[in-house]
Amino acid sequence: MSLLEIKDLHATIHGKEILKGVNLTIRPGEVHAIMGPNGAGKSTLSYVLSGREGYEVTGGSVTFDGKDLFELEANERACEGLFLAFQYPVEIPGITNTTFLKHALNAKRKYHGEAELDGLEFVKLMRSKSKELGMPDDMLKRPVNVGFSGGEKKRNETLQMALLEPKLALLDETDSGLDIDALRVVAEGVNRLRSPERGVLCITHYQRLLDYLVPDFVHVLAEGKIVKSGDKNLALELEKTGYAEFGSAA
Amino acid sequence: MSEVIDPFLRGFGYSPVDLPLAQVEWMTNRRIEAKNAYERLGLPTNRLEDWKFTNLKKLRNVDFSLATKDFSISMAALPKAVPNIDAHRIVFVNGIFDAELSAIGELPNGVKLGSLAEAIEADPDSFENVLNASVDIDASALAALNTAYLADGLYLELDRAVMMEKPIHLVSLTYTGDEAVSFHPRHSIRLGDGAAATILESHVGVSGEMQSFGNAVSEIQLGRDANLGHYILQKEADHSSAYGLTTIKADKGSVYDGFTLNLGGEIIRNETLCDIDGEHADIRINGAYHADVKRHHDTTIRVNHNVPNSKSLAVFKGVLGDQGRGVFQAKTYVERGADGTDGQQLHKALLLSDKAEINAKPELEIYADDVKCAHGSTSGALDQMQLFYLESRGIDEERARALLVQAFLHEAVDHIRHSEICELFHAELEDKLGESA
Repeated sequence: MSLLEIKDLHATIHGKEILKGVNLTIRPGEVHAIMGPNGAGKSTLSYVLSGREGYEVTGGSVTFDGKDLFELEANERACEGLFLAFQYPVEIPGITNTTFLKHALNAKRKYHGEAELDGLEFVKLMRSKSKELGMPDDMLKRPVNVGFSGGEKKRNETLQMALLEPKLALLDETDSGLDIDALRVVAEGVNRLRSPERGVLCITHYQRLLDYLVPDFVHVLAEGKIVKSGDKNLALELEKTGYAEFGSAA
Repeated sequence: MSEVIDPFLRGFGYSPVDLPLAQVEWMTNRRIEAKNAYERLGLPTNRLEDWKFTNLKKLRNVDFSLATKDFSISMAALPKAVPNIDAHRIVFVNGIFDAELSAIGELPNGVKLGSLAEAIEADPDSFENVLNASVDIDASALAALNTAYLADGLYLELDRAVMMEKPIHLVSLTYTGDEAVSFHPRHSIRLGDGAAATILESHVGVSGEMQSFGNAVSEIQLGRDANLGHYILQKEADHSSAYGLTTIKADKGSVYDGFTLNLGGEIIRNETLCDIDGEHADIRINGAYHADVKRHHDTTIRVNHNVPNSKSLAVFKGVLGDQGRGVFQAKTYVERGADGTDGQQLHKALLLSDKAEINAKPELEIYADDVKCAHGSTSGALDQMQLFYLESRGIDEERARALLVQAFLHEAVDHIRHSEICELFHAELEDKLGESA
């Protein structure tokens, strides 16, 4: 069975059609990359899948792990195992990272009828995960993403992913604004999560992340549709030729 | 004299000879003078610029009784809502000192702490020039009213260089039985040069069936390099209204770290009037409020930088839900020649309902050239991107909203410099918001 099946997906924002019939199937264990020029609909796709308000699905269907994705609220999608790593992780002053992560993990556990973790159990689990990612403890005590550097924010996304153990990770331009070291750390974090049961959908403008996160499939999204698919070599090709042939600038 | 139609003079008739300390001549004279001033000024109305956004109309038709010693309430124990901290505890029930509930404990040398009424009785002359030293009864009707009924409150005096280890816990309990009640506490706080103390003020409503109006005046005098932490927790009952005027006189190098957390009450106005009279004074008047149901929380601040090189900060954050209303009026005044002044004001409001209302009026009045002053005010709804971020991590919308509201206020509470009280205020916030979440 496929993990994610997108069929002829159409979506609009403020009445403007952005996705114009996207088709994509991801099976467990696969890593897919979607590349494309600016304005192709890459971010819209990730927001439509994760359930952000303001986007209207006007046609098509998405099945996630056998369930109709659009029947689920954003938080339910997360609890079912969909994880969006944000291009620009949001700062939340006043909530410590630890509190935030605890609420997130316990929300998922509750959803699946599991007992919630108490403070001590949680901190133990969080420490072990953050250690693997080489995150300093003070990042856990600070308010969510507040004053974090670009790299720290992305590392924090990776930590959340490691804790929530999603079935499908959706990486939205995860490489934007990173230096090479941070890029490596984040890619390693994602690679550590790779398993025969999990899928990864990596949305990116540049090929560089794919050096570290070798995809099984590469797709080109242009003007709201997937216009070309191939293997990792397609990404290398795009890096050379750019997106000009797909009728868009940049 | 024409008949006075006023909720605070009408009911019981003003009779200074029946008030405590009537034997002290200057006290009686001052009370009568203040009563006359109050009659002249009258209860503030919206026609006054300073009272444009806070309306006391609701109080006008209430038959308030004056809380007196005879009308004392015996309580077996402190209500659970009073925070339990290791402190010198002094308790007032409707403004009157309650020795039974107080636990002042052993005081360091050079500290005088107790009931103001008892202190005046013991040595009346020493207070003649202390009380009202920073209060202008011709400018403030409610301060005049407070003076007209001046009887009891907290008396704290620290000698030079005395540092108190434990905080002072001033507990103000509001109790209404069958009658609406008013009371007018006066707190007199003086720190000598280099002295240091921490005061936690807990205002707790015990019964909420009838209305009450507490009209307090706190006079604070800080000597050179003195340090006062002053933290106010307001958890009055739904029908209780309160006005509190705090005056601060700050000498050279003194530090005042103030924080007010308003969580309860009906119409609440906290007014702070600070005169910085010495260089390098550092004044922080911060706070947070949560005005849900029909609460009205008014914060009015005036800081006068009368000398060069001093600092003031006022950061307030408020959450307005249901039909809650918030008012923030702050004026930073910089006197001619007060160069090097650093005066900052910031107010942020979060509006959770269409019927909630906020009126913010930050002002700067600057007559010096070389100053660093800024003010800002924002108001808005919950941040949709923050909300989505939490939901995208599995947290349901209701919980996510509650978390963000808490986070908004917790951030303000972090301004408290006293770590134990900072934690306490965080916990109080969780207590209150846990209920409504």
